[in-house]
Amino acid sequence: MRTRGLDRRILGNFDWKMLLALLSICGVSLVTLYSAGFNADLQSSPQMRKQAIAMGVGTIAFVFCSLVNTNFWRRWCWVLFGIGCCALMILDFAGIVAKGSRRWLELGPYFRLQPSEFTKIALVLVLARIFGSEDAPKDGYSLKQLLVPLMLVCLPVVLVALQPDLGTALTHLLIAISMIFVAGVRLGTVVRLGFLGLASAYPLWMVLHDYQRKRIITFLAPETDPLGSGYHAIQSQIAVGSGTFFGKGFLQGTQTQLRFLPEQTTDFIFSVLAEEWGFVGSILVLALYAFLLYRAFSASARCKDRFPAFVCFGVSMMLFWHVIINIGMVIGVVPVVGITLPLLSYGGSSVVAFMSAFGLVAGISMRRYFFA
Amino acid sequence: MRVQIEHQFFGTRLGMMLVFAITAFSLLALRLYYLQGIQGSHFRDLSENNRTRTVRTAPPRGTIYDRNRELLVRNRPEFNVALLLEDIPNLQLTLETLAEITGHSVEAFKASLKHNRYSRPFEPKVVMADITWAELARIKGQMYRLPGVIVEVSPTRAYPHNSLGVQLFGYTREISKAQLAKRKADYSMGDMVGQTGLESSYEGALRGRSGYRRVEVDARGNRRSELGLVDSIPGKDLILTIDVDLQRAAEFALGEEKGAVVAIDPRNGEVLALVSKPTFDANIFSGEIRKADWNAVATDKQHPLYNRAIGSAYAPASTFKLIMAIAGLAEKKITPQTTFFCPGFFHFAGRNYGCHKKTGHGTVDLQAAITMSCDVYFYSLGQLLGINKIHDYGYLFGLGQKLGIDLEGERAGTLPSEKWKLSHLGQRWYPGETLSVAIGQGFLSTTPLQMAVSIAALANGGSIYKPMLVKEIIDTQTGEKSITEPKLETKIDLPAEIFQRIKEDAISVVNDPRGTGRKAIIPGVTVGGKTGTAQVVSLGKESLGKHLNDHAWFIAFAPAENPTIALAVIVENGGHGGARAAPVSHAVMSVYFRKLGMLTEEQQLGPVFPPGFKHVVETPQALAAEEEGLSD
Repeated sequence: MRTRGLDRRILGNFDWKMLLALLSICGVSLVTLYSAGFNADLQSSPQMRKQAIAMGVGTIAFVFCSLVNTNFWRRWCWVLFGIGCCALMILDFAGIVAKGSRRWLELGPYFRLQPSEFTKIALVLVLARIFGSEDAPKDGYSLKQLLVPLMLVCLPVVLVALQPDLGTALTHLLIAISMIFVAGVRLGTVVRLGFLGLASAYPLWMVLHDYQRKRIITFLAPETDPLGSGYHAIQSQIAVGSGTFFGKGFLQGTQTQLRFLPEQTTDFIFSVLAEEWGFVGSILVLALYAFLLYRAFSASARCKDRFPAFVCFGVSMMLFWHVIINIGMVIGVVPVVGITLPLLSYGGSSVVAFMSAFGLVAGISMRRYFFA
Repeated sequence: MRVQIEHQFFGTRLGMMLVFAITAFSLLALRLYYLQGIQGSHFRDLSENNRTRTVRTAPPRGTIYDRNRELLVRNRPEFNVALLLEDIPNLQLTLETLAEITGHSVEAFKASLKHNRYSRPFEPKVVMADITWAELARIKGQMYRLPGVIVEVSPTRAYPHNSLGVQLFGYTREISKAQLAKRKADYSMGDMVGQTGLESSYEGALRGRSGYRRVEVDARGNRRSELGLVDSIPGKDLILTIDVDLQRAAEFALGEEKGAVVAIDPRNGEVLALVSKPTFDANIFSGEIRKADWNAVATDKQHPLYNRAIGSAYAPASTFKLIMAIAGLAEKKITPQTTFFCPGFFHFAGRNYGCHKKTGHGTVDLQAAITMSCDVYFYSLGQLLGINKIHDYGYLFGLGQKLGIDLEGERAGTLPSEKWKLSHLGQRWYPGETLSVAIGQGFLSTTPLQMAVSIAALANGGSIYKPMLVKEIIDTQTGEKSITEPKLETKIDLPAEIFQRIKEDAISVVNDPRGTGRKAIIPGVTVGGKTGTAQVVSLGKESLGKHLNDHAWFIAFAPAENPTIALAVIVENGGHGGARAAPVSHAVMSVYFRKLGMLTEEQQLGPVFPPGFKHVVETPQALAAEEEGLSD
């Protein structure tokens, strides 16, 4: 394998529509964040400025990742994965406590990083490397063959769950399961894995934190706790529903401006959008995500090589699960789990991670006629 | 959407995932349609009818008491009429109704609303502040006609003693944008914050912590239920070292004059009175301050907002002679027996420096020089000491430096030396200037607080205590007390005989028939003191118009055997210290010793306050002293 320099011809295949869709979501994010973080005393929204900076960095990361040759990622994915897991371990043992969990790596006074946003990409690369090898079993993986990848998946999942950040651990797991499914698994393996999952449910329930258990119970029966965890779910639905078709208008959302929604700049940003911009705004954003998903899918489908096909699929799943779980939570079809809405939620690490991931896809898609 | 699968890496599984993803997105879209489309108006009603507001509750500010627990600054409820714009269906109609009920104009309300435009949405906007009980009753009775109009109650400051100690206590006002930017934590627009005086320096203790109430209201602004409550924590109370009776006596005694009085307990530095005149009624700061009131106070040429007791420096004049005498004895330039001849002037470098008594005091020893305040004696002594020694002793007694009282705006005054003149004026020192400083004039300037601390140090044998204003800080919630301990800053290391000698000379200033401070005599109590008359212009004694008259000083301590009070009085443009400042000392000390039960019934000559100060001065001794025609 050899890395080759950038060929000018491939720029002609650059997926401008994808970049446009990404930047559109960023624009929606800035408008929504301005409203969600609006501080009447300061007549401004400090979080919006920080987010704009993160988006600038993200765009640079997007361009960088799309310019790097696919072979580079194939060769270095293990190193990236190793660095990511090391960062998670450092956090677990020496991380700072912020909002009760150790999620952020302090890098200087103005900059902190949430490594778990990036380990998702590393996990996608590593799994693509394994499933993308030419000697993959034609008739699907057996449990024994899956042993190594499963252990690799468990490493970041457990480390993130220990922070404790259940939502992000869950997205790691779902991305991995999707990739394993697409790679092909024997029927017997599926059955055995199912039993294993059920058997591990009880010990898992025991290690969950009280608030996490409460959330699951509240999801199953929200009326049990109308002023506690269920309160958030109910108020979020009121916010979304009260937006009706055309929304209440910019800065006019009562639920938002009364600071009634929990985490309204991060996990619950979609309820702000839905309240102020209504069904029209919500569907538009949903359509933008669907479009991104479609571009990643089609990039995967058109690859001539196994590794990049898996990478594109992994990134599409990363987007898919984040969107489904986050919006599902906001509109009350999924339990309240703290994960970001890609590019919309406030949070620099998440923005840069998603832009980088789509940079990978853009790079792969414009090189699809060239063989490594 | 068409995805063309051009390879067989995934078999049909990519297609299955695509179908799965499309299904999931469709479900989200359907659910959104259900919530926002089908159920939209239901949820819109819910959001309108179940508006929950987080209302901040301002903590009651701490109360300020004097040393005997008499109320100095307290809180009273302030009623404000506010509008919840989001709850008012027809603003014009509501404003007209409100105008009809209160007699105010719709335009005035609209102006207040405009002024309010930077407040948060869904927060009440105040249109009438601090309404009267009568207005409150009228509005409350008509509430059914006023949807979205609420009457808020919030605590505001009240000053039971009106103008008393207004510069000392300071005042609170709504936090400004600049202040908000500086102290972010726990403050927000509309909060009251101490601006001057003790309200400012003890802001942290007095303020307390805001509470929060989560109130559920319906679309008409009617309160339906309270969901959550975090109680506000009241501010801590201050027990001052001030004795309100002494403060009142001093303010009364100064009358219409400009000036200041500082009374200190020499045993520990507790400030018993800290007065600055003129004053004004502090209740203009209670509730909504009217612009006219504020402008009247802020632009007054006599600067009533200014605390002269700590922030004005005057030439100490002859009151400085006590420190000069101590310096002379300590440096062994003179003994109590040393005499100088006063012909009425002092000849130096081809110029005559006059004594205030043009005919001269004749041959005077130290006691006579202090008692009659002979300038020639101190010109001679000043020449023997030199300016740098004078500076050093002044500094020992707390002059030329800030004493660290808990108030903003304290000044250091000027204590000149050769070095000082070189660094500040870039000039060398002229020996003639030493003579001016020796009688407390020239570059020398001191604050009333410094003079009170220095006379207290003389009275207690050389201890300089940090002037203390707050005795205790009491947490009313927990009952916890934090008691301020006296802080000994320096101990002046000089022989006790020197202090004793000068104290006796100070006693004769008040008690000797020739003394200049006889109006400060308190029957039954030995008072020591020193007068001073600070020249404003160095011309003759012709009448020049009030603002060019000399400043009258008096510093004193009592009882001489074991002093428990020391004070400094300045009456701006008052003329002679003995004639105008000593009676103020007399008034303060009369009240002080009467409270201690040290004056007999006859000596008090009726109640001191009221009916008035005049009554107090007219003791037989004081009248007799006045007859003698004092000069110093």
